[in-house]
Amino acid sequence: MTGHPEAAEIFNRNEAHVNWHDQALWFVREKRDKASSQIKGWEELRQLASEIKAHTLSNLNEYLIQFEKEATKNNVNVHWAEDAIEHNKIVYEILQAHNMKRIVKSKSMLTEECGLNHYLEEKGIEVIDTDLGERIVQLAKEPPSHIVMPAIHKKREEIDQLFHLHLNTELSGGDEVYLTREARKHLRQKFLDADAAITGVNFGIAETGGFVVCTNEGNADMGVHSTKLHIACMGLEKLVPKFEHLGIFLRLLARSATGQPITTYSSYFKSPQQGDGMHIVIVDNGRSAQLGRSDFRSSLHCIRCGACMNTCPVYRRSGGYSYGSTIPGPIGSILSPGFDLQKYSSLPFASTLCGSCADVCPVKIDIHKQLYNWRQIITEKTHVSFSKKIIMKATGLVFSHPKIFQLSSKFAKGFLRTIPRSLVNNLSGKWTKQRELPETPGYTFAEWYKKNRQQDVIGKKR
Amino acid sequence: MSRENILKKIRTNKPAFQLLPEIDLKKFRTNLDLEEEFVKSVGSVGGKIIKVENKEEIKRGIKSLFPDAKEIISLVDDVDIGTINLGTISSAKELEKLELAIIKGEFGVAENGAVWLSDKNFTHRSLPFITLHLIIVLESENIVENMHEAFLRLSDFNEGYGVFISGPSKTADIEQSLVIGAQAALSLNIFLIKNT
Amino acid sequence: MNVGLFIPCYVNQFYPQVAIATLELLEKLGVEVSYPANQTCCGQPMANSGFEKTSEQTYNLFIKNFHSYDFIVAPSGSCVYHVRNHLNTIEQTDEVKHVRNKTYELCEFLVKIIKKEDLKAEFPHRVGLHQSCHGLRGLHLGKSSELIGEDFSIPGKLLNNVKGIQLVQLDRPDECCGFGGTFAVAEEAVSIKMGNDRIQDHIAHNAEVITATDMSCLMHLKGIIRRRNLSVQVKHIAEILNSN
Repeated sequence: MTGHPEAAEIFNRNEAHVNWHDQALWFVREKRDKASSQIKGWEELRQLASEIKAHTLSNLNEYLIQFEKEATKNNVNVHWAEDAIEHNKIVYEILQAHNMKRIVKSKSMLTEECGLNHYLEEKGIEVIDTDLGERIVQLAKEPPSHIVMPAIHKKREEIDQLFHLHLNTELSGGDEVYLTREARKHLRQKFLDADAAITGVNFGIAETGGFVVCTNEGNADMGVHSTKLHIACMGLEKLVPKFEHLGIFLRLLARSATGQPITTYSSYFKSPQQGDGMHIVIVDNGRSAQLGRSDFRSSLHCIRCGACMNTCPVYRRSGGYSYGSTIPGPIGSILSPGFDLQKYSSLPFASTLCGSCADVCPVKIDIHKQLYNWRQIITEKTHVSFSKKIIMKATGLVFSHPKIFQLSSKFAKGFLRTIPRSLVNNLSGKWTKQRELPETPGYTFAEWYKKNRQQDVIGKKR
Repeated sequence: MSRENILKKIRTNKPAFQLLPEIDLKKFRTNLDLEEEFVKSVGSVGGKIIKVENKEEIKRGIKSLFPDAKEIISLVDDVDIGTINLGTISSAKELEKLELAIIKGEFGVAENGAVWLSDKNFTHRSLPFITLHLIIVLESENIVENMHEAFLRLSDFNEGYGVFISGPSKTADIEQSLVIGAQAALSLNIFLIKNT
Repeated sequence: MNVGLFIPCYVNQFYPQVAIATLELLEKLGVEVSYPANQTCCGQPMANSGFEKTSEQTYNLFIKNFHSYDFIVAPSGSCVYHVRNHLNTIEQTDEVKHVRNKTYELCEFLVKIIKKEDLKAEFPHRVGLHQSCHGLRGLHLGKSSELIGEDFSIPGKLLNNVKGIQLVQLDRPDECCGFGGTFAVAEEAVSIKMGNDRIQDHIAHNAEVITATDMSCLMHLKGIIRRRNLSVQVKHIAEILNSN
């Protein structure tokens, strides 16, 4: 089974492309640094956001009940879906009940996770993703490679060709203004012809039953307000207790995601316009299970900003597709194993545990610690190559017995000095593909110490 | 059934109760001049501020910015340059040709140049989005420092819909190159007027 | 006070000069320091690879070797991070707690415990400080670039006092080098790319020498430097601080 290393190796065959991808995302990280340094109390905000989320999770059932009650009072229909299939069915049934066939959808990683588009399309419903980046990957028949910038992996010339093919645009060499204007015309028609709009939910407010959707393009609002039916899909961890808490989260979200002080539109939906219909689908799909994993529970704080991806030196140099998961990057690597430990077993190892992700996370998820913890579970519960297990047991044995360690040190140094390079390379495999082995100095520190300090200390009294 | 199953799983799996943190808004307050910061922020998000003394200046300002605009809706008293009566509109489709929408903003937020609008300020929720160009009239005393203050101000909010609008619609989905004007308004002009 | 010198396994094996520099430096500063001969490893390589359970005997040996010292000092941020944070899977006896609390990376020991910042060292070269991740973000040896707050760097402070040294500014002051233990071989392509990018940053700013608190980072970078015949050198910070 291939995993991250194999995909990353292929990605790295084109170094110019890696540099371009790395630079593009590093640029977003730098914008995030600038934006967060420009307001007073950034670190305080992160701490508050983390504590509010932790509190919410510790009282989640009550908040969901409150949210449902308030939303229902507001003329909103609330549905509950245990898993992806149920979510898709509920959405389909709502649309079918109103005979709706043309849907416009704003960005929702949850609907991506559930495979909603494919499900609806198989039933003869047209789903148009209206975020420009999502529309691009939709036309290219690709999944998004980044949760905030879905088409970050695509060069302008590719997009130019794509639009020429599907939207009949002139070839423009990838002129972003021209292409965006053409996309606007195309999507405008879709908005006006659509029967219903599907959106995600950035934050649900338990106190009021309302929810917030953030966009830069205005596509969520265009969709909802052009149609008579709004279906909002919400992961159950997206609640915050009070309306005023939005003050904290809306200050953190866009600054972390793109370095903007706020998205162009932060829309608060509470009740439908006269005569319109509004539905919320609350989705579990593994979240309540994650809630029970004390080491990994705080991954549910995630507000899907993508800052961890932008800062991750591995993500930047391997791309979203290398992870093979709906949500890639650091957060994806601690969420995905919860879904399928075997399939995503390489992800927690696709990291040096540098900790940069945890430092940028606006809700203080200790991603690097969770990566370490998943590694322990994965080696115990999944198939690890026999040789790796043996090597690790042997290493454990060597390091727990001083005499064996000292003997093997002698062996190792002698071994490296006398065996021909080619054999050493063969045996040490991956290290030496693009790197020299460390030189062997001819003595260990332990030997030097014994000779030069004449002591053999067992332990001195304190 | 699903509802009960989900709630049951949550009750079983949730961690020990943790208190909500105390939020001290003083930690985020600064001494910056609100109007000045607001003007700077609007500029940085791609919007434009025009400071005026009275509504006549607004009318003149709009005419000079958009001399050829024919399809106009104005919801601002004394800026009666509208050519379409919003009361006659029954669906978003009818607004597709709209060139200018002139709406009064409730208040602005200095830290990010956002203006809050809601069902209180306009009917037909598509109005600020479907219009080609959006114009907001805002009283200069109605500016708060940051989003915390904004939500304090909204503590009694009871309408069905509201939106913070910060600048014109935009996207950077093509190789991170910023394009002003995506699916909603191509431009945002804010007329900042002394309180009337 | 007496200090137990904790030398990472690969430093003992391949970079004894780093251990010697550490020892000499501490001795020069009047610290009573000795090297318990039966030490092996802190267990990090196994634990980081997901084999925490096979490390437990190694942890016990570590405690056995070091519990009788007032402080334990190592020229390695990642090993110290591991002892302080991950030796939590064995029974937390008083001895274990003592060892975990009193294990220090060299620079933080110098600045925080014996409060010596000027080591009268001399090293007239252009030096790039590679801020090894576990030391930086794990032990808070400095402010990482992600956090908003006042800038500080313990290794930076010590280097700034070295006579003749010129510290270079980097484009990315704290990006990871890509070693990451078994990551270096399990994700070889990305590891090499990360390492090479670090080296290029130092070269672009005319560093003659790359230094760090962790020899593991430098071992990885040096491997690439030698393979590509690049002119920049590496030296552990202990060697620079001990030079005069």
